[in-house]
Amino acid sequence: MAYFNYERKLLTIQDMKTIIQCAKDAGVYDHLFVSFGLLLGICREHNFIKHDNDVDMCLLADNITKEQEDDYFGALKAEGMFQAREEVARRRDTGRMTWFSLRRRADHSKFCHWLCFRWGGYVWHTKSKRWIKTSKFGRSEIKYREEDDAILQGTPENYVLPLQKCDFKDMVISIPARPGSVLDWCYQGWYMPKSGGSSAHRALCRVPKWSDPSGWVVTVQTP
Amino acid sequence: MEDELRRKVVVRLQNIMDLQTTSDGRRLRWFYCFGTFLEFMASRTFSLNYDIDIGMFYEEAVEGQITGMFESFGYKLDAAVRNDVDGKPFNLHFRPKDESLAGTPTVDVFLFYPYGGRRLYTYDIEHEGKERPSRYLFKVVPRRWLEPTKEDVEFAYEGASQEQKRVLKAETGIWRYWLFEPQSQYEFPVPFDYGHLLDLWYPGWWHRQNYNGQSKTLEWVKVKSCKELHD
Repeated sequence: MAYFNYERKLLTIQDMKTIIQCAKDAGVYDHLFVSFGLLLGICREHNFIKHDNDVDMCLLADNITKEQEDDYFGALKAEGMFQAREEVARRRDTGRMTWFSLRRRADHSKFCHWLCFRWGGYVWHTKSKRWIKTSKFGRSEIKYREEDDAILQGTPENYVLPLQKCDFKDMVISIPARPGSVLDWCYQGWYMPKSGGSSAHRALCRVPKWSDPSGWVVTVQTP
Repeated sequence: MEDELRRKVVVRLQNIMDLQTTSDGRRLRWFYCFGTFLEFMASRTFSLNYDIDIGMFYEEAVEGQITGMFESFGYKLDAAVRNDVDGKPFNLHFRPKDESLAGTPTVDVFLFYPYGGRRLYTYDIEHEGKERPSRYLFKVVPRRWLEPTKEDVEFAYEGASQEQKRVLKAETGIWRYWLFEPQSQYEFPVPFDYGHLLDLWYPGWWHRQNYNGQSKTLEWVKVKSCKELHD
């Protein structure tokens, strides 16, 4: 059965509007953008994808301060957005968030926030610890060690930046600069609906220590 | 009636293109491009409201075969832009001639010219109406977006669903999507990295309502004569 039925769409739009308002209040709105499944929905169907089961938002974290990050999280909390789900992943060194997930109430959608950053020509996102099935990375296996700080997934920076504004369901939200290229990167063959499946892992970065970028190891599947 | 005519046009073009071979007998690679491609990708339709744009590769094209096939399926060559060195076409413009195709759009065939890591294409950009223009203006496409490597196709296969595998042709790296209804005989070939091409040719493609307009390019190659085309 489709997850995004009529009622859930209405609730999700309402929640997105709250999220946008919180982002505006915290001064991070211009760095908040839609990607992954919802970007596919906007481009392909001008709608939510019926069989998707969450909403992915990204926040370009290297453009915002720790205070703004906390203000945004606090504003979402004050609006009751974490009542049914609150999960947070943080960098071990700075304590800054890399990812959080919220759900307002049990019948509402789950929203994942990826706090991305630019490095080495890519925009990276992570939940920090082991969260990617390396088997999905094709032939180039990436060695992940338990003691590593994080494993990151990347998208070419020039696909993402500069962000551009997009109208969606009476909201104005940012999307990547080159949405078609992002979709090819994440979901090659995206024109044809496919049930299930996460985005392809074309660029991964193993982070032994957050504090030492010289030791980070990038593996890119295709140039 | 409109729907019947659309199906008739699609199946004719499919026959015209699929029945051709390269000079060494291989299957010809072809795809819809520009406005026709944009309309299909952005609105999931194929209408008869705009000219139809078809792409193929310059070195695979045999002009006599292309014009012969179009003529035998009811079209007439109307105009061309040619290489001033060897006379081979870069662009062929066909007009419907048969009564049964009355009111249907013209067809533009673009022959993408290999140029190192890029492919060049041109048409009567400056409206000179000449087969050999006074200067050649070429728009540029990264070659790999049209012609993926074997590894690119294999990677796409690894992540593809069964249905996606049925429409991605491994030997050509071209997606042949179904038109009108799933698993239909009507197919719509599109180049491998079509998202990249949409971003390049038609920024803002996802919310466009109008499928007219020139394709954008990030780069131009301008020469007086094709003798100057060196990698």
